[in-house]
Amino acid sequence: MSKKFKVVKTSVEKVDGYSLVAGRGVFVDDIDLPGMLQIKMLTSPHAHAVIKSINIKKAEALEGVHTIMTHENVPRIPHTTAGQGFPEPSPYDTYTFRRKVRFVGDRVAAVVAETEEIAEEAMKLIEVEYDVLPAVFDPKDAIKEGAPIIHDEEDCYIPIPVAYEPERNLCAHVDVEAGDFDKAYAESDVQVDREYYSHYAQHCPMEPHICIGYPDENDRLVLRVSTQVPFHSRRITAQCTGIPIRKIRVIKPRIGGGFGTKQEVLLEDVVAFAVMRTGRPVRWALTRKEEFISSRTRHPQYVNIKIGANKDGKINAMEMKVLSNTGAYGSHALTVMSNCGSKVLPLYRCKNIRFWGDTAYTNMPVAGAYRGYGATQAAFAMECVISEVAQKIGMDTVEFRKMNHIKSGEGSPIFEKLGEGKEGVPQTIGSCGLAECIEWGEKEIEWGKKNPPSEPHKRRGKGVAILMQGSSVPEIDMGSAFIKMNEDGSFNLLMGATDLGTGSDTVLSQIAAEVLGTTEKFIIPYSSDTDFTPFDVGAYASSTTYLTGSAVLKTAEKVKEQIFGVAQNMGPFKDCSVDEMYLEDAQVKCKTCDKTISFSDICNFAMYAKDQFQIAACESHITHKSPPPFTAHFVEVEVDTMTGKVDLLKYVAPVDCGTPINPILADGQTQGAVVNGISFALTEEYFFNEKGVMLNPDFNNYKILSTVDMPELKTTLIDTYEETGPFGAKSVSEISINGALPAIANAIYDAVGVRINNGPFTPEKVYMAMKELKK
Amino acid sequence: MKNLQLIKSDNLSELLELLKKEERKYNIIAGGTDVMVLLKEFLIDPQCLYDVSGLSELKEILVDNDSIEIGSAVTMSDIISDSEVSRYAPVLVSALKEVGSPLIRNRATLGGNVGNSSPAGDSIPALFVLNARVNIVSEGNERSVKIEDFILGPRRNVLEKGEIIKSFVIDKMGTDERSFFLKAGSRNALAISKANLAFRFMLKDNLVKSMNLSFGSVGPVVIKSTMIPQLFIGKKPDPGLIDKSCSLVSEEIKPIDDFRSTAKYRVKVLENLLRKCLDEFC
Repeated sequence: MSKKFKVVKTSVEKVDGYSLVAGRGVFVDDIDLPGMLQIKMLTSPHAHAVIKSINIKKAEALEGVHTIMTHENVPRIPHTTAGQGFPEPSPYDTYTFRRKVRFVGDRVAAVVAETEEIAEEAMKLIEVEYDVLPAVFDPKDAIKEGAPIIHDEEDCYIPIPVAYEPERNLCAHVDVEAGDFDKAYAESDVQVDREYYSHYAQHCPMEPHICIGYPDENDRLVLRVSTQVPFHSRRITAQCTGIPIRKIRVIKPRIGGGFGTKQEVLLEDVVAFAVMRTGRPVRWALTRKEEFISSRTRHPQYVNIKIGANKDGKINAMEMKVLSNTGAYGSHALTVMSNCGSKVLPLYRCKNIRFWGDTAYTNMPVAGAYRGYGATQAAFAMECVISEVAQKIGMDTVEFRKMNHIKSGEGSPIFEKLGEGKEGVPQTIGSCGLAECIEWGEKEIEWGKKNPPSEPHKRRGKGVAILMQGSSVPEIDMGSAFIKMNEDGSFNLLMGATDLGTGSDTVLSQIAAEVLGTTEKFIIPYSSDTDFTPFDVGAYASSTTYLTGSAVLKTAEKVKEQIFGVAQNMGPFKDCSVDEMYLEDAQVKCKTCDKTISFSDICNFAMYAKDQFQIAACESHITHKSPPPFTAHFVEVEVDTMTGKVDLLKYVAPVDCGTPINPILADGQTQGAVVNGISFALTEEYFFNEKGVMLNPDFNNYKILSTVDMPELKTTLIDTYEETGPFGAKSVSEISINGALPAIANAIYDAVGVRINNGPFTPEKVYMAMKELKK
Repeated sequence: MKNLQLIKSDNLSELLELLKKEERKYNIIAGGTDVMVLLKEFLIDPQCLYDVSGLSELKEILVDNDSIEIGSAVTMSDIISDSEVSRYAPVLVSALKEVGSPLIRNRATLGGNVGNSSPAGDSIPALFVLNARVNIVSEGNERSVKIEDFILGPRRNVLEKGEIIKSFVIDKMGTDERSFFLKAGSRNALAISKANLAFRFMLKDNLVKSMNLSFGSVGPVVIKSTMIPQLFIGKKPDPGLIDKSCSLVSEEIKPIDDFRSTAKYRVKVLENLLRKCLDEFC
């Protein structure tokens, strides 16, 4: 199964590692332009209100204020902030400024001033009169008849042919069925029907959203953006402002993390308008508080699962019903919801499957893409119910999973039925190391062995969850790369793909180096700049290694052909056929004779000697499959029966991501995702008051896990080879966030016998559930 | 952030003199681990800050026959690593170990934790059971108040204009005394208590000779239990007494619902924490 590589599958140093730790990595905010102005956004204190009047005169008169933008003086253009391919599968329900505010934190007016302090002063002088409307916060209430209508404007629409009924707060709907669910469920020996709720959470990247814009010497607009999607950023900015695409350049420098929240075009429209109006450089940076309230969150969801199984352990029928809360705007509303089904249901072999998904508008913070993208929410419900079904049958929960999980060569009707805004793509599983993952995890956690607690009032338990994700969006997403050769035998690798701290610059350099017979030290990666790098959809859907990696591989192959062609024109290789040539040690070599030519000589010959040309190529790639990575998460917990506190003792996460191009970086993605998931499962929580105001928008009161909270974490990479991926690679970045909620919930059940169906598993919640059980 | 004047001195009398004359709104700052957060959240709005962290008079730990005096500007890390405090006031060390994180404890001081007068301040219940007295100084004046009289309400205390906390005098616990500090929080570091308790007692001939008990995070101020010690003193602890004392918890505390926790949970968890302590001496 494994193949021999030279650069790939090696943990080479991260190409930007030294620069980052030395503090040289240049982020958006690391430049200070002369005369740069600052933006501050006045936001709505109401969850739902019409702006009756807005008076900016006093604020405009304040010294140091340059301009103030509101819905009265900025064009109203329906668009979506979701940075997705065009036309987006998200509704055009957002305007740069709106007449009506739809959540606490919605845009009202942007002040552009000399300093942030002046802008804040000016904000206080803006007089806004609101007509407060009744608000609705729960998606179940929002879709009831008579609920306040959130998008009652006449000009919102969705640019693709799918269900969209804003007149009843229904932002998206999908239903598909394979086989006959009702019949199969009714005929099953064992039936379990449960509703789970997964809660609000924020991505908490180290670097909040930031954008700096300025006019260049040719009066083109340059935007330095902390973004996962530079090309979508350029397109959507053009759409909102009317500036032609040719006049916009988006630069993505080093990025301090995204996790999906930077798959949004959140700041660029306002910065662009501000630059146009003032002719000056303008900066807009969100504070952590604004990041929590006004940027994007995970979609909270009710997920109802019904599973029917036979006593022999065979699953007959599965139904998943999702009610997703997109908040005030429908960013990723349809696709996150449909991903619940498409990334979770195919995991189990079953002929009768029904998926039903609704996404509702509410007057809550706006949800968007977040690592896991629906699979996190759905896997929580699914993996808890799977364990419950196994227990009802009387089978070990791991054995039940082993019996039913999908294997190499098998397909699922869901792949074909459920896509992103349209039907999916039929596919069968290629590489699948799930069985090996389970086996490794079982051994590591000592499945079946009950350990004694550390103190008499504590109880121990173990839990499991198995998972799959995808690798890119098939037939929709495209990545491309450009490679050119230099005289010293090095290569520039230009990519639209965005390294946001993930290490993709390193991974993609390794792929290029492997093909070109050189080392990653001779590859100079650059990502991304819409003026210089070819198009790429950006970093999302676990796609960069699989999708852009293939584009890099193809491009490098083209460059290799050109190198062979040049070699053939050079003296020593006159008599060698191209079929005999290969690249190794930065040289062209021949299999039959022992002659070699260095890359340096090749490039110098191509540039200066004869029939001169630039050795260079650009290739694009789309995928026809979205091969899932697999993992099995195991956890051991100790629950304190006096306080309800759940301590994680050990967490085990073996992952099959195909060939790990850079094993340490792949493992880092796993560890990061696991911690991200545990934090979501145990402590992260939004608190709202009855008016929809978030009460804890800071790290003092919104708890993310710290180093001392880490359990013993064991990860490993299970070796498989995905034939459709570059050097056998699949994705790794998202999958491991999905395990903590269900695995810990299952472990809590094993420890103290209570099933917690909503996160986070705080001491109170666990304690109160235990009290209930006693009654 | 707006302009703020920071006034720092290495001379106590000079600082007290300046403080007496000060007409602007001020706050006292030592490690800054509370003040900086309060400033950032606009919960205080001073025009200047008086920094006491440079005053050597406030940075001493003095031990005599039956008490320990701890300067208000001694950092929590220094208290934790002091061998005499560890030996003679272990409950204070246990409590301080629960505060924030190592980084915070390297800066935070006992004076700051008490001066901030939060009902969730972890050191305060421990100071309660150690019968702490707060020494307060101002220009030309000194006074001393009991810790339970020092704190008036959430973030309110008896400090008058011009006064600062100089030190705390606590009991030296006897070798036959035992103590506990227990806390329920949401994670292992940087978690504000949902509920905590400090407990100190002495058994002699199987009878309870003395008992001090206090609860934190479950009312507007830290609460000193009176009913539960009364129940035990002079008696031999048995399961019946323990059950009865746990049922008294809800009468002594006044917890609230906030987003850190619910009142109901706080009562239950304190009952359990108390039971854990009491089980130890049965």
